[in-house]
Amino acid sequence: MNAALVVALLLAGAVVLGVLRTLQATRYRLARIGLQIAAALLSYCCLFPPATNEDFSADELVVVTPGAARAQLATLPAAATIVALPGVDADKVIERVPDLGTALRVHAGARRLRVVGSGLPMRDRDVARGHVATFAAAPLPRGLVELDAPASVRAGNIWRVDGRVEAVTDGRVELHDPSGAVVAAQALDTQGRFALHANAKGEGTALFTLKAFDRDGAVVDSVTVPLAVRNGSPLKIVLLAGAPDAELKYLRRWAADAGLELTSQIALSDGVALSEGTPATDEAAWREADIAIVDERTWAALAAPRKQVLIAAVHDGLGLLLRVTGPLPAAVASDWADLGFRVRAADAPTSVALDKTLGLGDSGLAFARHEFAVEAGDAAPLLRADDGSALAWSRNLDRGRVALWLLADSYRLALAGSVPAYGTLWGGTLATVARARGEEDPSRSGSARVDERVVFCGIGADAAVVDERNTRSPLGIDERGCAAHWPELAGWHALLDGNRRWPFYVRAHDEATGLAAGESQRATRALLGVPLSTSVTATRSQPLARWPFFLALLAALTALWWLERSSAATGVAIDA
Amino acid sequence: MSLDPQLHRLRVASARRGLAIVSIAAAPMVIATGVLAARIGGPHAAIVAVSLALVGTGVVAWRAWRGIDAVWLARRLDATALQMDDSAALLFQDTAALSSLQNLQRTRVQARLAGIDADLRPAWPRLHFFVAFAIAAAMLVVAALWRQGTRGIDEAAQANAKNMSASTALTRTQVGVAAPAYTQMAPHTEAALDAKAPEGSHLRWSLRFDPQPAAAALLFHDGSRVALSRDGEDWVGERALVASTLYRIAVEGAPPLADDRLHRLDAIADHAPEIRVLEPAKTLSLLDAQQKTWSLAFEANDDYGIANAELQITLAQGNGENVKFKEQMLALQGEPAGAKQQRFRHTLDLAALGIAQGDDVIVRLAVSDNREPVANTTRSASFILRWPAEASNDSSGLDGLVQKTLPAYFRSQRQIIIDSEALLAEKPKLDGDKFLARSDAIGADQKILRLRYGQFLGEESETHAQKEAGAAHDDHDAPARAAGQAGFGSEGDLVAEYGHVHDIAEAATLLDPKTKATLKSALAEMWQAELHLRQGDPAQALPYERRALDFIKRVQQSTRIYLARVGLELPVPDEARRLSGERKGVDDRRGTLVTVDADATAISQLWAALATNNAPDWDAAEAWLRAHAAATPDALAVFAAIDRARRDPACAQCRASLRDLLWPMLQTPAAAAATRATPNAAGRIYLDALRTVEAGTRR
Repeated sequence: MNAALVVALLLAGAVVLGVLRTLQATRYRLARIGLQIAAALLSYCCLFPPATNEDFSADELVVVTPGAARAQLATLPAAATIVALPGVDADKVIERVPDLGTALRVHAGARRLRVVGSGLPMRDRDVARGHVATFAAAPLPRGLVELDAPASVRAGNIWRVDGRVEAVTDGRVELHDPSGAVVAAQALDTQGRFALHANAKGEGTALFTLKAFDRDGAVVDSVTVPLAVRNGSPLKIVLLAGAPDAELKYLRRWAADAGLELTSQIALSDGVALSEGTPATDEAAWREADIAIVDERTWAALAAPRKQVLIAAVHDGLGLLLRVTGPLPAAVASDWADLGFRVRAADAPTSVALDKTLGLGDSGLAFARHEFAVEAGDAAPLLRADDGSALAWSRNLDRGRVALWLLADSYRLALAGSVPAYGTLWGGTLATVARARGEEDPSRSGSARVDERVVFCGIGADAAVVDERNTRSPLGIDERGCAAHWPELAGWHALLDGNRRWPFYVRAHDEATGLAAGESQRATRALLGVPLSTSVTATRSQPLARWPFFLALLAALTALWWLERSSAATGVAIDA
Repeated sequence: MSLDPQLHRLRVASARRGLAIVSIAAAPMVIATGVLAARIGGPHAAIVAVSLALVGTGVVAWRAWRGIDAVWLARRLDATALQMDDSAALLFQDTAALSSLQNLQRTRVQARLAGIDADLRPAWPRLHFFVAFAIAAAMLVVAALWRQGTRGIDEAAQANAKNMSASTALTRTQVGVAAPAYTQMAPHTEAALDAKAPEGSHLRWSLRFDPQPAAAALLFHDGSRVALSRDGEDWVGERALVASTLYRIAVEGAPPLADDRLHRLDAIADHAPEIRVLEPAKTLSLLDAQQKTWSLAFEANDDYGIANAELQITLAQGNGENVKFKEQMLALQGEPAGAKQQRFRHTLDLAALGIAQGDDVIVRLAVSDNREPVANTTRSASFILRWPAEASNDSSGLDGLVQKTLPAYFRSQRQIIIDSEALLAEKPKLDGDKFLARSDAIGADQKILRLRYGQFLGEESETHAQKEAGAAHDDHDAPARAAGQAGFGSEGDLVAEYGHVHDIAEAATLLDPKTKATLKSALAEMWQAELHLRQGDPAQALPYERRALDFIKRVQQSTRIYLARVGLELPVPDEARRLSGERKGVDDRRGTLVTVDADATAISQLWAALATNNAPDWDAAEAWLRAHAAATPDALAVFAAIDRARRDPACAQCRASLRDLLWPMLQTPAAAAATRATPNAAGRIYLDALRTVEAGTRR
């Protein structure tokens, strides 16, 4: 026997008693009996309201995220299950949840998420993976909403910062160095995008400032661009050339300035050479070296056993950069074909531009490419000209890599005053081809903010984070080598692992809010995909609201009271 | 109703006890509230919280005082003294309102009251006190555990306050600036210790300290020192401002100054006068026969006024190697006299100078300001008035010295258009044959022009065309054409001399491909124009002529002459001859590459150390900066920032701002290279698998 039945029986009994008693009354008998029955029914409905059936998306959960516009909140479907994450500013009564994980546990049937607002915060993205079906994004604020800058660059390299400014037409951006001087400026394109290049200095951390201006030159937004510069590693280069040329001059100069260990031998004649260090081409020397740079004239002059030693060394991890400086003798071409580069007949050099590739702006510099038809097979392009043609390729050869270089005169960069661009071009090339002996850097998720989760992966067991006040926070590392951290202070932090140190910058919570909105919007978009389940429409019974029943009950009881009182009064009057 | 004095005494004693209880219980709570508020919200919050707590306590105390009334006293009397027979309330009532029985009892009770020595005061509520103290202690614990960060700030503030009390304060600062007399600036006083004053100003410090030191001095950045002398309450010192510098106030026999940072003195340099020449407009003017005078006008301005102006007039007579110079100086009076900006006018009487044909008069103005001790002097450019020598026959091959060698051919297309339009205008007046003849003549001009441009493209040159053109000249444009030819001839020679004109269009490397394409279009238009002109239809030719002019204009605007870049294309080695030369005495060269040594390491080390909490090597950085002060823009600001950061190691903001100042001085190192990361276990397995697959396919 359940409660409803008991209540019904009790009410029925009460009604019966009431009716029996009312039957003895003289006036309003029928009305009173009717009202009594109605009151009993209404009080039952008050306690156990009747249900109606309604259609709803059974497995759908509408998640309102911070930044949801008022218009979006107004158009939320009435029949859906709606939850609001912390930080949502809504007048409407919406179920509040501390995070998405909780919401999914509470609404266990939810499989598909409809995200409304500026996007899911970092902590909820893992939970939402594979569930986000639609995303109604709130409009982004005016100003910088996207910023892509390297987490760290090597000393002296040219680095690039690009991004997008929202809702500014004909605007421009300027990059200011820590002393406030403008180092790069650019007009925004039609989509508000920009790409700026600047030159890194020595090892250390510096805060650049990116300012966006509108058409009238008023500052729209200003964002700190943190830059951590790290020293490079002293690559051991063995440079063998059949004849001196301008490229070698600048390459050797750069290698010496950048602190690379260069041994070079540039043949001047038979048995006469211009050399640096003591170049050797035996097995031991190759084991020591990181990269060998060889041109076709040296290759032709190398004895067969020495070539074999060199190729064996490449299989073992050495990097080999093959420079083309002129027509290839057939023997060399066949050797290089064995290394994976089928090079055919040379033609006149063609002129190529590298402005976009190297970020030179509109320099108008033209470079010469040795015109060869190269069948590079499985090799990956190492350098592309602005028109998309490849100027260099590299491919894996077991542990090592081989690259083919067709650009004849990159030294023009140095001549034109872009020495950093020259160094960046060659530094990047050598880093790609040379022997792998660096250590993997730990990865960091997104940009760090105060009180928001930042995840590091690929770190050792004793890793820790230090902030600007030198407070050391040890990290709890899981079995995959990842750890999360919630920074408490804004400013430079460093991830320490062993004796290595990776600086990273933590933004204040209210700093660059446009960037945060843009980032969570993009991250949420990235979560969009085929949801695990298709939409299920189900019917569920929804109890009706109790208050109308209660009001009706109150009215019925009032009427009863009034009727009984007046009948009693008349009764008294009769008795009297 | 007046109370019995004994009752009154009892009541006052009880009320006082009540107040005491409230105060004892409230005191710890009020103090703890204050401490907690100070921890959480700072001193202002503490003041507000303590005031609120005191108001609350006051309300409670007032209620406690009011609570001890007649009713309370009566009940208390009844409770403590049995003799009162529960009738103490009668004592507080008016006898008139009482019944006789009540009156009798009242009298009895009143009589007994005298014999009672009851202590009616409320007992000390031990439990309440304990609770109050416990709550206060809990609040103090919360305050003590409140976030570390805020405590740090508090402590820093306290430490600061302590320092303040243990330092000497500057209660009055006055820097009197007496600029040099020639600047005509009135002496004035500045209240700030940082000052800007004209170079050579006399500065007089007048400082007052609290407490008074035994001695005080100004220590300057260059190592010099100005001792301050006591003058009543003030300390006074003087110094002339020669160059911008930094200084610090040092006291002896007293605690150090609260604000002992470096102060900056900026010397505003006196700039040399600037001269603007209003007349003559050109550096070289030619005298015509009627000219008797040469009027000159200059304008000069200086920051503090112009002292004098001298016009140097040189007469150069004779020609060839036999040139004599006559020089004279003439002092000019400027208008308005004594102003910072003055105008100088002078009219040279050429006859008085004795100028003859073939002579040059060269003038030059020198203006000095009144700077002391050495005046700044500026000289204008030299202006030449030339009476041209009579043209002699043997110099006919030389163009006039000032003749503009404008490339005339760029004007000629326009001339052809003008000619065509003129011809069209005259058409009704001319008969058919004449019209055709003139049209044909213009067509011939057009052809010459086309051929000339064709030369630049390496087309066949038809040298005879020029002669033909000369024959076909119309009278009305002959002078222009003649001038054009002379100009063109020299340009053509230039091409022949320096250019690379071949008969193959592609080999003509004088013009870049784009210009060449434009020029080609111009030639095509010219062809069409010529065609219609030759057929006696200038109206049809006009649009082509105009388009040709447009293209030529474009060529003219592309100002650069382009020499084709020749890449580094080594010739294919001739293996037969290769390495067959004499190599005796030719040896290897080793180690020719010299590494550059980084110079500004001290600065970059300081910059790096400032980012971490390491103690930087201040002395090395300062020494470097001293050695390179001249090359550093605003070195004084850097010195001042270094000093600030050095004196206050806790000031993170000082370190950060110094770091920003150092940034422009950091050298940019050569771009460094990275090494790629060693593949991890999975990567190695992948590479090994790749090798196996490759080996398999090869087999």
